[in-house]
Order: sequence, then C-alpha cells, then structure tokens
Amino acid sequence: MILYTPVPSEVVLDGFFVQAPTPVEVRVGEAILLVEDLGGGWGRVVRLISGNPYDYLKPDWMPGMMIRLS
Amino acid sequence: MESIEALGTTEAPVNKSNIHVLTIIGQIEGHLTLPPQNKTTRYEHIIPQLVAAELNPEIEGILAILNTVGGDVEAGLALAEMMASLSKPTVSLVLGGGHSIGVPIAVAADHSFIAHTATMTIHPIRLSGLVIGVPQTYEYLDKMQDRVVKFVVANSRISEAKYRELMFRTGELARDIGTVLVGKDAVKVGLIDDVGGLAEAVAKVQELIGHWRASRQRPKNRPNPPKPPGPPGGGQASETSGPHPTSSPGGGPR
Repeated sequence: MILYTPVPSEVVLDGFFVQAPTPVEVRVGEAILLVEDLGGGWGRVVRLISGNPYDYLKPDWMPGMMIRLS
Repeated sequence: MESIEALGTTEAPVNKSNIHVLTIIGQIEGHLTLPPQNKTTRYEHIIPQLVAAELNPEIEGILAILNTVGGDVEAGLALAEMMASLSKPTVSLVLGGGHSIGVPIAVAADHSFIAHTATMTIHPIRLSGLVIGVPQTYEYLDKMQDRVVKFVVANSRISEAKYRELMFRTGELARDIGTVLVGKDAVKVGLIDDVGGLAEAVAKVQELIGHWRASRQRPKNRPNPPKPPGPPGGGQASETSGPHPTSSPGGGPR
C-alpha cells in the first residue's frame, strides 16, 4: 500500500493494529450486507457485496447506514 | 395519503435527478481498511456505483464532489480511470481540498471546477514503513509516481514538465517538497478547467448532457452519413490525375 497524502502516515495509521469487530453477514435477496452489530437489534452497514450494480445506488445500503436487524 | 392519515404529515414531492452525485471525501481507502478515525472513500463501493451510473438509463451525467486528502495510489487511480472511461458526461468540483491522489480523480472528469478557496497539494509519493535502501526502491517509487503524472498530464492541460516542477518545488511546504495550488492557481497552471461553485458545476453537467444526447441521436437519424462523391470508375482515378468529381459527367456513387 502506498499512501499518497499530505497527512502524516502516523496520523492516518494510528490504531491500525487494533482489531476491529468482525461484521456479520446479512443476506437481503441476492445481495449480502456486511453489518457491524451495534446491539439492540440495530446494525451499521460496513460493506455491500452484490453482483447487481444497481444495489450500489440504494441509499439505505450505503456504508455507515443504520439498519434494523431482525 | 397514508402518511396524512397516520401521521398528519404530507410527503415532500420526490424529484428524481438525471445527475448522479458522487462524493469523494477524506482518505481514499486502498486494500487495507484504515483505522476508524479516518473518514474514508471506499473503492469497492464507488466502482460498482460508477458501473450502475453507466448502465442506468435514468442517469445521464455524473457530478463528482471532492474534498479529499488523497490516500491509496492504486485505489485513487482506479477511481480516476473509471471516471475517465465513462461514456456519460462527468464534471468534478473540488471543494476544500483535492490533494495528492485527489488530483487525478479531479482531472479525470470531462470538465473540472475548483472553488475559489479550495486547495490542491502536489507533492512526491513517499514510502512509509519498512524501506529497503536499494536502487530498486527508488525505481519503484519513480514508476508509481510516473503512473500519477502520466494520468494527470493525459487528462488535463498541464504539461509533464510543469507538473513535475510543481511536484518537486522546494520552499512552499513546511514539511515536504511540492506546491499548494489555491483556486485560480490550479486553473492558471492548466490542471483544472475553471474556478466555480455548485451552480457552475451543475450547469456544466446539464450542458454536457445536452451535447451527449445530441451525439447519441445523430447516428439514429442518419445511419449512413453521405459520402463525398467519388470519381467515376472507382479506384482508377487518382487524386492528381483524375477528373474533378463535380465536373465529371455522371459522376458520384450510384
């Protein structure tokens, strides 16, 4: 990885080795959403995996969006 | 109607735009997930989004809004190449900053704007982490830098010599070598097309969409563009010795 940024790499990479929680896979139709479980039945979208490019235009599936896990 | 009955509210009318807005913010994240204090743009989401924008007939143009501090070279160049290869009109607007690997993304659009106060930092690529002090390391760095320089030069009006001069200039940056271009400076050196804001950028996308629509309709209306009348007898006549097409009796294609 070559970082090309004026921000010092020690700032960008601070906390790099802290283990992030493993996201859970949620299948919605043909798509798979990787979701960080926040507890209380809520999750935050981390990543979308889908072969349908139109899925990537859905605002509710954007990374960072909160979704209800049921 | 349901919301009026249930909640006593009315829904605002939803207007669908023919422009897809792409926001490139924070760090361009590469193959490694960056720690959470970074705001990041992820290529695995932007790349298929651009594919969708290319395929979706309702989307006719793309407006990329940049406020980025750069990031991963591979991912940044991938996004820039995707933008440059779209068949639909693209316009970029640099707000705040479009630094380092943000520069190729900004120039990848058909037309680029920069806000009056926005900045673009041009500086050499550095290697972080373990660096082996052998000539090959420098050759590799040079090669990576060439990829960026060549893309920027191919997609903007700046010359390679000028871009490299800005990249290796000393005395401008406190902690680095390179240059910070503010607003109109980026236009002056030929990196960005115009100084402007949102209104100008949106107007430009709509203008380019108009040209794009016209260019798409043209082949449908005229499937076989008329060829200039050639000399009679096919290939026998040459340009210098043959009779002039307009003066030849019965000349032209049948």
